[in-house]
Amino acid sequence: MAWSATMIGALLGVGTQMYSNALRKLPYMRHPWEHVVGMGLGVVFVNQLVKWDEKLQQDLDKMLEKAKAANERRYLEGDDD
Amino acid sequence: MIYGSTGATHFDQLAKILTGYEITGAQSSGIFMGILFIAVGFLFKITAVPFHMWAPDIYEGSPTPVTAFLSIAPKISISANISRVSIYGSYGATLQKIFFFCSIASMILGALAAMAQTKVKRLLAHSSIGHVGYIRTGFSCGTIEGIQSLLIGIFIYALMTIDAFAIVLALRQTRVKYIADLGALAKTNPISAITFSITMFSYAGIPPLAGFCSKFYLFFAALGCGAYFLAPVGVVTSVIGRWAAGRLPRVSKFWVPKAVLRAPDT
Repeated sequence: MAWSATMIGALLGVGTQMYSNALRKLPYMRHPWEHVVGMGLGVVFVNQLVKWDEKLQQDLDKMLEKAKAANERRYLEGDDD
Repeated sequence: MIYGSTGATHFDQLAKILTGYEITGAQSSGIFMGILFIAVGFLFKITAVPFHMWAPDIYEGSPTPVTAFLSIAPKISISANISRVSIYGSYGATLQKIFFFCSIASMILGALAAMAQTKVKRLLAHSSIGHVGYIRTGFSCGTIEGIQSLLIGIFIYALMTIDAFAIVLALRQTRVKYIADLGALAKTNPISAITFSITMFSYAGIPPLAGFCSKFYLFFAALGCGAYFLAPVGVVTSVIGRWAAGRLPRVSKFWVPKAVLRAPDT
């Protein structure tokens, strides 16, 4: 999972930089160090996105558990709270 | 006026008073006018119909960076403002009726008026008015799904608008003002033409682009809250709006530029 996120991030970064060059009518690989920076930023972005998504899923599961417990307490046990 | 009628400014206190006002059907012209004026103020800033008159002229006359800011920032800030006032304060039938009407009117006017435009920035202004109508749909519902769809809609709208105005800004040096001026874009700058096309298709709500996803969530939130008239109106105006939004890609790809002798702008 981490490898594929890294690869996708690198491709995204390189693609963005090449697209930026193309928009400005420059050769696609003009200033190749910018493509390296783009790859790095892309890798960081996609990996952080994957981590954020996992945390989001965990937080959502916790919230749903709390809501379920509160509903059971209210409606099955007759708690007035 | 609300403070004059209720004596409260804190959201918690206002929530109790205004909810009681809505539920018991109490008559208070002060509260009613106060809610109306707050709604009108918000709707003016986000260029919702019928308070949209200023938008096309200001969008056209302002420098393009200012237009870009005006079409993005107030929508986000006012949407956040209204959501906060409604979630922590009160959102009742009075406000809901006003917002439902304005959503429907904005969607219809945004789609129809955009068809008659000849200038790029005015077309984008009317597209923006239409999109505000779709976003208001999510808020009008008064449900959590509505607020979620509003947030998604605002985020996607901001990205689309940034994209559209970035292209318009990039074309500033070629003095693109009228839609017909875009006739040579596919030949002179095909990447810009493709980007602009994708952005306008997203505005039009064509799947699988982001604009379709935002409208999908907004219309499903409307159906979920029982607004069975609002969702079909949104779909129909979205279809009509595809013609207007599709004009820009059509012109940039398939029109041949005419040789025009134009005096320099003075």
